[in-house]
This record gives sequence, C-alpha cells and structure tokens, in this order.
Amino acid sequence: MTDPALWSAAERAAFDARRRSRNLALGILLAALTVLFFGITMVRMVPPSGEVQAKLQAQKPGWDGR
Amino acid sequence: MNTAQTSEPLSTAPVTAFADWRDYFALLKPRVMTLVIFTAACAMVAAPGQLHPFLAFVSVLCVAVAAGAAGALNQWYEADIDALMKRTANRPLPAGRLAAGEALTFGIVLSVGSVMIMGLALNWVAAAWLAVSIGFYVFVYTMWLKRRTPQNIVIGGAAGAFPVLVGWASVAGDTPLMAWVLFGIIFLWTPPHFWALALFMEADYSKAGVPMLPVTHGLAETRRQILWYSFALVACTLVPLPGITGLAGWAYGSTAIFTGALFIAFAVQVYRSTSVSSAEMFAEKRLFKFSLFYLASLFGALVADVWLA
Repeated sequence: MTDPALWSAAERAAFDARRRSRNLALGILLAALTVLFFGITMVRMVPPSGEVQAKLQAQKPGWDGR
Repeated sequence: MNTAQTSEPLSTAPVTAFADWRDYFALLKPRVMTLVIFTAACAMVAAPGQLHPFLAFVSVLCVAVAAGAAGALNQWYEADIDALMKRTANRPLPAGRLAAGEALTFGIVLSVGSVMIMGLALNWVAAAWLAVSIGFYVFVYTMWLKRRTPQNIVIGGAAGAFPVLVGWASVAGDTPLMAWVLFGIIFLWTPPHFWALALFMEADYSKAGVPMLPVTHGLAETRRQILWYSFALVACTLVPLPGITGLAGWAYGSTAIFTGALFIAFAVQVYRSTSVSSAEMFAEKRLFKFSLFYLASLFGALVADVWLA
C-alpha cells in the first residue's frame, strides 16, 4: 500500500469516498441488527394463543400464576 | 512457483486502499446465495408446522448470511487459484482490493453470528445444521477435497444441499424422510450441473490446477458420469410421488416426471456430444442452463402442492 502522505488529491478523494461508503454501510447494518433483535424479542414474547394456553393449562394447572 | 500447488491461502496482489462496501458484498457470492435461499425457503413452506412470518424471514436471512460467510471463507482460502482463472480473477482478494485477514474475519463473524441468531430465534436443531453446512463447505469441500480429488463436486454438492435441512428444521424442529429426499435431490443435481459447466470451462480449471473431472479423466468420462448422475437424480425426484411414498402431491409429481424426462434427454445429448471446443459445446451449455430451471421448477412445484392442498 502506498504511503497516504504521497497520495494525490484524486487518490485522497477516492479513498475518502470509499471510507464514507463503508461507514454508511456499517451504520445501516447496525441499525438493521437493532431492528432484527427488537423484532425477534417482540415475536418471541407474544403471549400464547388461546389453543396453546388451553394446552398449557391442561398440562400444568396454575401455569399463569393463578 | 506454481501457486496452485500451495496449500496456504495467498493474496496475490498488494492491497491498494480500503475496500468499498461492494467488495464485502462480492465476498458473499450473492449469485450462489440466491439458489440456497430459494431451496431453503421452499423447504420451509413444504415443512409441516407454523412459523411467524418475521421468524421465517429471520430463518431465511440466517441461511443467506451463513451461505455468504461460507463463500467469504472459500474466497479467503482460494485467492491463489482465483487469481489464475479469468472467471474469478477480479474478485476482491485476487484483485487486491481486500486483505486476506479482513476476508477471514468477515467470514468468521458472519458464520458465528448467523448460527447464534438461528439458535436463539428459531431452534438449535436448525442452528446445528447451519453450522454443519458452513463447516462442511469450508473444511471438507474447500480445504480438504477441492484440490485433491476430481470427486470434489460430488462432495461439494452436499454442502449446497444442507440449507434445505436447515429450512425444514427451522419450521418442524426435525429432519424427516422428505427433508432428506430434498437433500438428495440437490446433492445429485450438483454433479451434472457443475460438470456441464466444467466441460465448457475446462481450460480455465486446467490452468488453475483444480482437479475437475474433465481435467483429470477427460471429456468422454465426464459426459458418461453426467448421464449416470442424471439417472440417479431423476430417480430421487420420483421418490415423493403419490403412489411411491406419497410425500408430495401431483403438482410436484407431474413436474418431476415431465422435467425429469427432459433432463435425461439433454444429458443423453451431452453423452453423445463429441465437441472438444468450448464454443461448440451447445449440448453442455443447454444442459447447464436447463439444470437451473429444473431445480427451480421442482421446488416451485413442491410449494404449489402445499398451497393447493
């Protein structure tokens, strides 16, 4: 890799543009991961449907703490 | 020095500047990923059970990222031979746009991340199959067999077949006979598909020193093997038919019979072909293109069966 101190203005501009695009991509990726984890948590935390609830109650009375 | 003989990965050009995000994306082999996503998604639809649409999306995403991670690790290891082939010389590592260490780290992070998310969000059976698929592709296919045996494609076919097990397990939590039949279809489809490609790309593989069947055993033997694998493939696709095991319906059954007959017909044309020049290998190119349509139509019909039921 050539010494950055020896870069021409055009090489410096190209380097900056690549670095900017990488940083932007990384930012989008982190935001997407946040949304992904939030979504997984929400879906997994949804209370069981009526049918599943009935099965659980039949297996273990008082499962809901009552 | 013959770089094709070295077992250590080698970046063949100096890294000139920081890579663009597109170079990282190219490491994931997005075109290969498409097929893996498609087959895994079809297996998810065909598997018995219900899955929340968001979790189904997460499952497909994990399969895609894992396939990409395996592709990145493959490119990290194969930078030396990629530099020798026209088709792959412009990839980020041989072209010198990325350092080998960056590609390795990228591949490892994505591999671990996809397996962990699959385990936490879906189930650990699917996560285990996902880990096996990455490990098989990287260690068994890329590092062990690809440069050592002309049967590399046969073994590599298993790596491409694991995603159907992952897709099925993410919905059903297990892998019954039908999941393994789908595995078998992709496993047996891979040799005729890639050997057809290898026939008209033989010069490239020969230059890179990769022991592909046309390079080691000649064109005639490759054509014979394509025909035998085509018979085995079509036989495997008939297993789920109503009246045999009844695991699939008639939308799948009629598609498997019709397209299977065409596949055999094209494979016979390849077997009879005597072309030695890539430009004249029309039968081989036709089989290669048709094989893509064939796999897509089989899995598409499987989904249609579920929707029609």
